[in-house]
Order: sequence, then C-alpha cells, then structure tokens
Amino acid sequence: MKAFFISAAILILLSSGAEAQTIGDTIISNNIQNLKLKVYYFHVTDRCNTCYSIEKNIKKVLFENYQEELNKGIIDLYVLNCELPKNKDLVEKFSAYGSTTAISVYEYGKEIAIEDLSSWAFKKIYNPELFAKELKEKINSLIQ
Amino acid sequence: MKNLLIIFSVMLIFVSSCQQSGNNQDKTSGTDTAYDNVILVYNFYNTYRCASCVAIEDATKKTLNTYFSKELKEGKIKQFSLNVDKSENRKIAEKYEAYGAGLRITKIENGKEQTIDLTAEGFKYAKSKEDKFIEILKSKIDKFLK
Repeated sequence: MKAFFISAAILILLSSGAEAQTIGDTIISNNIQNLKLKVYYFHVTDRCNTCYSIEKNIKKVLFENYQEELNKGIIDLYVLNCELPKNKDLVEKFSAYGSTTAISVYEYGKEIAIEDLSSWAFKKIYNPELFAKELKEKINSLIQ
Repeated sequence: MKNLLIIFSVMLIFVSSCQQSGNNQDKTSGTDTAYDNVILVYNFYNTYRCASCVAIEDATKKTLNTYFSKELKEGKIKQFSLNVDKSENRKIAEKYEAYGAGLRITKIENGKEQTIDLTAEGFKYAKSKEDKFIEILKSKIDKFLK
C-alpha cells in the first residue's frame, strides 16, 4: 500500500513537470524541448502607469492568443521585479535595471537569440491595439 | 468718474487677456518651432510620477549641468520638463506622442528636425545605473552637437 502511494506521488510529480507552472506572475514550462520563446517583463518596485500598462498588455496578448502555447511550454512568461536579489542574474543578462521588455528565442532546448523590445514597448503602449497587433506578429514569427 | 472707471477696467481686462494669450503662445511654440539651430531636451511626465520617471529627469539635468553647461548658457541646448496631463502641453505632447513619462532629444538645424527617443534607456538605467544612462545621453547629445 505504501509502495502504491509512493509510486502515485512520483507519477504526479513527473506529470506536473510536463505542464506549465505558474509562480506569481511567471509561467514556466519545465519543458525545454517544447520551448520556443521566453517573454520577459522586468519592473521596479515603485512603478508608474506606463509600466503597469506594458505588463497588462503583454499578459493580455499572451493569455488571449497563446494560452495553449503557455500550457504546452512553447512560450514561457517571466514577470520579474528587477530590484529583488533573486533576479540579479537575469537582470544582468538582459541589462534590465529598470522597466525592460525582452524576449529570448529557443531551438532544440538552446537559446539562440535575445531581443530587447523596451523601446518598442514604450513607444507603442499608448496605442494598445497596435501594441497587441505588433506583439502577436513578433511572437508568431518566432514560434512557427 | 464711474464711466471712466468702467472704461479703465475693460481696458485692463483686454490688455491682460492679450498678454495671457501671448504668453501661452510663447509657451507652446516656445517649446518647439520657435527655435532653430538648437538642441531641445524634453522630459515629459504625468502628474503622478514614479521613482524611475523622477530619476530620468534628475539624471538628464545632471548630464546637462555637468557636461553641457556652456551650451546651456549659450542657448544651444534647452531643457524642458513638461507635465503631459496639463492642457497647455497637449500640443507638444501630441507632436512627440508623449502620453506618459518620456525623454526626447530634438536637434533643429536650419529648420530641419531630428528626434531621438531615449525613454526606454531612461527607464532601464536612470534609477539603478545612473552612470550608464548619463553615458548614453551624453554620447547622443555629443553626436547632435557635431
């Protein structure tokens, strides 16, 4: 009986590893083979409306159009406070010392490209429809 | 005497309203098209400001005062801090599509304008990596001055 419970627990653990994990605002796939795109949004602790708006619209685009890709681990979403020590390595990697939007592209489990979308995000955020349209175009071109 | 006072009051109101409209014109056009052969530095902000937005303005002023004080005195560089929520700044905010906090640098040379948008760099670096932000801003202004 004990062995049965242990086996069941292991099975549950293994199967949960195949699905996306949601930790706060971050969605991580744990499935590096499926992964094609990581979307990063970094913010500081004291934030302005523009920063909130960028995060809100990134999430809107992902949740409304790429829920399946998020579930399958094709796309990961990271929403990170760049002032927290635990995010230091990623902050340095993306030079994200303040509000930063970035993506990294994966192929067969390896990161092959990084793109900083911060300038684009700050420019387009005041037109949410255009922001959504262009972000979708960008994501579609990268996950094909 | 009463009539004289009324006429005087009407004249006073007329003169002051003319002066006011003149000032407004100066303010809106004065932050742009009235200038030539100049670099205009715009710090746009909302009424509610976050720490990053304040840091961008502070670091911008620090850059200008440290490296371009001569150009500021000579009028070759002008800096403006404008609240985009105020109606008087609507026109200039629309021109630069600055609906929230932002930093634009415009070079006007013989009537020809060239603008760069350093908003993203500002939000990325001004608060936590001020030196990096100052380095970026200084190099952009240096290029515009050449």
